[in-house]
Amino acid sequence: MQLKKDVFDPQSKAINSTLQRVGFEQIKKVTVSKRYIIDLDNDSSNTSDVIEKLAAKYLSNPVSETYTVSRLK
Amino acid sequence: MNSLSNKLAIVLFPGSNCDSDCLYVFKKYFHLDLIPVWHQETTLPKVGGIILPGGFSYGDYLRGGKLASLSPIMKSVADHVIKGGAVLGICNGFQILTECGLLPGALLGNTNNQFICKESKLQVCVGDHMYYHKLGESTLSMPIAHAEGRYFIDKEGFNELQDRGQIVFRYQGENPNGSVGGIAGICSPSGRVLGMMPHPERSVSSILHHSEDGLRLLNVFLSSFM
Repeated sequence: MQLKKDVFDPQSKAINSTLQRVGFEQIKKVTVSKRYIIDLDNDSSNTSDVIEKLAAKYLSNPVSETYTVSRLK
Repeated sequence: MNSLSNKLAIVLFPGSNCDSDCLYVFKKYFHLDLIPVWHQETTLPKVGGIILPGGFSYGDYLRGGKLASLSPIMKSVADHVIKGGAVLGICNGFQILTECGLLPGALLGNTNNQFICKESKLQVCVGDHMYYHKLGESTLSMPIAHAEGRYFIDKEGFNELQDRGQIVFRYQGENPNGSVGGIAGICSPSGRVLGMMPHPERSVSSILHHSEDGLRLLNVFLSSFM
């Protein structure tokens, strides 16, 4: 999950400024995102649907955030 | 609305912490006993109005108001709104209202990355067809106390709010948290659901606070269904 591109993230800005101040001038931009690792009971056929629904309806805020889903081994 | 009940409920979530203030204020100044309803209940008593109080429901986990918006009682709160009942969401209550979709937009972290607890000046700017227009074109003074109070909505949504007269309050002067358009509170298209970051229940006594503007606001809230 991360904030949409046009939504200002004060946390990213604060981290970016601080890292630049301590010597990492080459940093152009810091993006903060949140990651959820979800274990499901069974690797059933609708796993993707369940995860997609969780991400879209519960974990992300469609007003301000975007998300990507990936499968971990 | 149905036989308009003049009773009021207040929903308690784990982490609500402004409920006692509301109970006290409605009793002392309006002689009303709020009916506390635990968030795990599935039905509400017959009431005309509901208050979602401030606090940190579920520790603000996931994000402010999200987990509370999934509480069993919220289905009944949504039904209450469909039937024309009134709701006032204060601070965390406002976050809950946006998270469950009863009000548009979202409340994000303050732009200064700080918890802000201070006086705020509010310009009343709601459409003249709304209940809250009764507040007049005045400036109200109420405290804010939040870390996630930056109201956000996309441009299209903002224009809709403006066109429909749903922006009830804007911060006057300083925009403390970086809200879009300085928005401090909005209402639903019908005007019966109000969400606001400032705390009217903390602005009721000239002894504790130099303004009693919170009482004026709560009075209009009550008049929306009583």
